[in-house]
Amino acid sequence: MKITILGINEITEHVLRYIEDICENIVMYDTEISADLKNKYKSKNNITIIEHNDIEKDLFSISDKAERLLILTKDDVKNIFFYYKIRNYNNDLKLLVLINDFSLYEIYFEKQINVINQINLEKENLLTKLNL
Amino acid sequence: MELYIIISGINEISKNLAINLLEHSDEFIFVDNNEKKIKKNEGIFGFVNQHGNSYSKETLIDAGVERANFFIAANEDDKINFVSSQIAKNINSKIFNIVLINDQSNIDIFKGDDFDFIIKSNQITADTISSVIENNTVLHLFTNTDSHTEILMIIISENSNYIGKNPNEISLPINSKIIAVINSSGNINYDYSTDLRVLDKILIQIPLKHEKTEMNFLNEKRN
Repeated sequence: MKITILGINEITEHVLRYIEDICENIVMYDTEISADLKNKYKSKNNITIIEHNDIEKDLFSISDKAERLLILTKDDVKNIFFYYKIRNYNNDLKLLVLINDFSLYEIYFEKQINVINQINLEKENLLTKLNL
Repeated sequence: MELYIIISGINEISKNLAINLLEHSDEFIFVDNNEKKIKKNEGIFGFVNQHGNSYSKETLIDAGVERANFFIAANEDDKINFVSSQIAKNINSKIFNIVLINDQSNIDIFKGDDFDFIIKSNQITADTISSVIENNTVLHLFTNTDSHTEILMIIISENSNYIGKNPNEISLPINSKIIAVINSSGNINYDYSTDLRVLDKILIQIPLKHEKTEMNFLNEKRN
């Protein structure tokens, strides 16, 4: 299973702990990645970290290579917009979207979008949402 | 009817729009998260500004979205326009969303019930938005399925922002043209040399399109 993640932050790392042992290929993108973070995952053969300064521009080509796509940046507006863009481009790709603001999370949950928030980051819930 | 309008984003387009709205005594409020822009705007329009993100539910409620008739997403960032329109509609299902699209490659996702009227940035003028809100009467006269066009008649109402303008200044959908202007005395004018007056009628030919145009939106509003 190849999983692609947009946005690297504490929630990404939390999610990573649940999936790193069951996914053979995890690729994470962000616009800026600290050296510490790169070093942290250097030894993990199944994890690749890519610094990309214009993710939005290459959104479709990035999504083409993914079997699951997790949109986990800290910016809710960006996450929601990316979700709709990719969904419109590829209706079959399994997507998971982080929405940090709870009131927004509720709105998009009602729209039956596969969303997560800090309140439901339990392993079982996450793996179910990812269909893993 | 006096309308209450929320304008998301302070920029030249939205400020020109506000000037038009002021002329028609409509009530409006700007929402923007840039404090400097808010301060500057206060000097022009007074205290009609809500500081905050227009995609925040709380900010929109504070701005009065529950009683608003129109929400105009006029930011230069499509992401903000997209999400803020969805949030506004979620809070007030009766609100009419007018959305500016800056990047044409994004147009495909601005579909569905959350986006009532979309305007591409290359078509935009404050007049275009204002005329959507404005109370002109539009009559559908004829559809020509052979040429894929329709003929509409706009009747200039008392409060129309077209009054005093030359017909050529009116923003029309792409590939549209004015056929004739009939003045209130019934005389037909083909050279459009006279500025528009109350009760003038403008005959316009526009292409039949699947996407919403300013004209069919106005028709829907009348029906």
